[in-house]
Amino acid sequence: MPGKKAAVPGRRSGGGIGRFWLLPAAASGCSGGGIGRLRLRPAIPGGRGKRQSSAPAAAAAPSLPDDALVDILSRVPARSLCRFKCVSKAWRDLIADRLRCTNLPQTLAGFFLNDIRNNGGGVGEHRVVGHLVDTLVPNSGWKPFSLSGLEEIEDPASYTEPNSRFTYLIFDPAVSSHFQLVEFQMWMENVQCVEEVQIYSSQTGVWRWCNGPDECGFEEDEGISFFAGSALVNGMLHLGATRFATHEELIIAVDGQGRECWFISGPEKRADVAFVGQSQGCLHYMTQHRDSTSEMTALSIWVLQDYDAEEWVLKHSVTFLQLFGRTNCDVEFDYKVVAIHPDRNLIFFVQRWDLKLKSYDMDTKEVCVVRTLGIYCDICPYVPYFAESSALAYKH
Amino acid sequence: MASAGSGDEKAAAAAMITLISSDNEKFEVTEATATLSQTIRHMIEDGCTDGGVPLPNVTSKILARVIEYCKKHATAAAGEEGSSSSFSDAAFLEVDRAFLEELEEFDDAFLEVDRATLFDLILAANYLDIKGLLNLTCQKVADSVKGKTPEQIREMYNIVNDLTPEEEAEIRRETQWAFE
Repeated sequence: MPGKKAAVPGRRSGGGIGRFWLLPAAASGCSGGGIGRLRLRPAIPGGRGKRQSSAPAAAAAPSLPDDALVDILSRVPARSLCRFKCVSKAWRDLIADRLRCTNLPQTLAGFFLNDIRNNGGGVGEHRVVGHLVDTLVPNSGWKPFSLSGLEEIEDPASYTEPNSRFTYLIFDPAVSSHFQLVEFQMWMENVQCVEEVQIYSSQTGVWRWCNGPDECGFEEDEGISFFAGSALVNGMLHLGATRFATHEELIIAVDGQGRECWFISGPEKRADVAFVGQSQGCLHYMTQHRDSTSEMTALSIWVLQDYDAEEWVLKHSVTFLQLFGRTNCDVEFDYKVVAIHPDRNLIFFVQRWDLKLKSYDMDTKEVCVVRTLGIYCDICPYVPYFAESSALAYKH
Repeated sequence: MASAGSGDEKAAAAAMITLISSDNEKFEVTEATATLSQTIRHMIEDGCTDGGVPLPNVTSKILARVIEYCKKHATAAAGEEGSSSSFSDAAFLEVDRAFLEELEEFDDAFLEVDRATLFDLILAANYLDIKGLLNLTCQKVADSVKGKTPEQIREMYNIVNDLTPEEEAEIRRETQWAFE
């Protein structure tokens, strides 16, 4: 039993239900990059009366240093930022050079595709192998963050390999440069029932067991829907869950310290959960609608408008006919929701039968094919984070 | 702090610094006001402020505005430090709130300047490393550009579009959603 290495939270091989934790490498040494100073000249006021008094200053033609312009651009929404790439070459390069613009807003930049065939999944070497489908920013430099050699477990002798495990990243750079990993471990054949939870903190650099499921609030008759996404809201990790005895659909919220855990009732008592995600700061919950003949016909997108009051609002509903051109589609078998855009009313899903990555815009009701994947692969959204992170500084 | 006697805090608080603008105008400010600028703070720490601090990148017009900002915010910072010991005191919090509101009003009025002055203020804040002022001015510019089209940006800032039509089409295609 390779104690130390076995503690590395592994991706699940095959099945496509695993999850990766990505932290693009800290952009060390990339500041002071090679783009020149951008000239942002105030227009010389032409006969606009009052402005005339400032003409001497305008003639001095201040040009802003890149740092100041980056500072300004970091404060505009992603949509404006993308548009501004059309202003000039210098603007385009400055915005595209995300390595330099460590402050630009963090939003969905693309997807990682993980070609299962290329990934040996060997113990100890857990990096994302694959390529990036860029949806927004081409050539954005990225490196997967490898967990190998990162962690030591306190007592390797007591460690045995679980039947399966799923690891989630809790990381919000707006709150802290530190991150936590929450790993759910299952020993039984029944893959959904969590028996142990292990937590890694980049602050302490060690994995810690939660003392049994009870400490984390898990009961034996509750299972987690690991295939259906996850959401980080209010610093808590949220996952879809089912209480088997009562057939209740719930969301479980877990904190990064393994101290707090609670359940939120789903919007419908009995529903097929398709996805849990975060968009615009709110928890989103997607369910598939089953009609009277047990055919799955539509996708409902719920939003938890008031977190404390557990007030769900039906945000949108769309038929499978519109999404996929056919009815009776079942999540995981026929399609898989892969992401909800963090800033927009946009969802992404893979259509299994022809391996197309598609998007659906709730505002315009438009369905787009983003890419034909060609092979079946694990896919996970990519939100770049380029700031130097002290939590990772000693890794590479 | 070399000039301040050991433990003589009053002398340190009253210490005056002379700032000299690019057009040779001299401004006397307290150390508390001047040290809002990290650049000047470092100079004071290194003991090289005797005979005044020349600021060849800042005109007297802009420097006067910057000092106005620093004076106001230095008072705010001093107030914060003073009240921190009695943080739980509701009366103090009430006073703080009123003061913060006043500070916000000051900032709003302070930003009522033309674009060229705003840019000069950004440059000065950048050069003098005054975080609060840089934040304030950059946010003002950001608010004025967001939602604008590339054409409007070019017009606002006299920028020549040096992208070829192909390059522009490429950008629009890549991020089509942003242009809808």
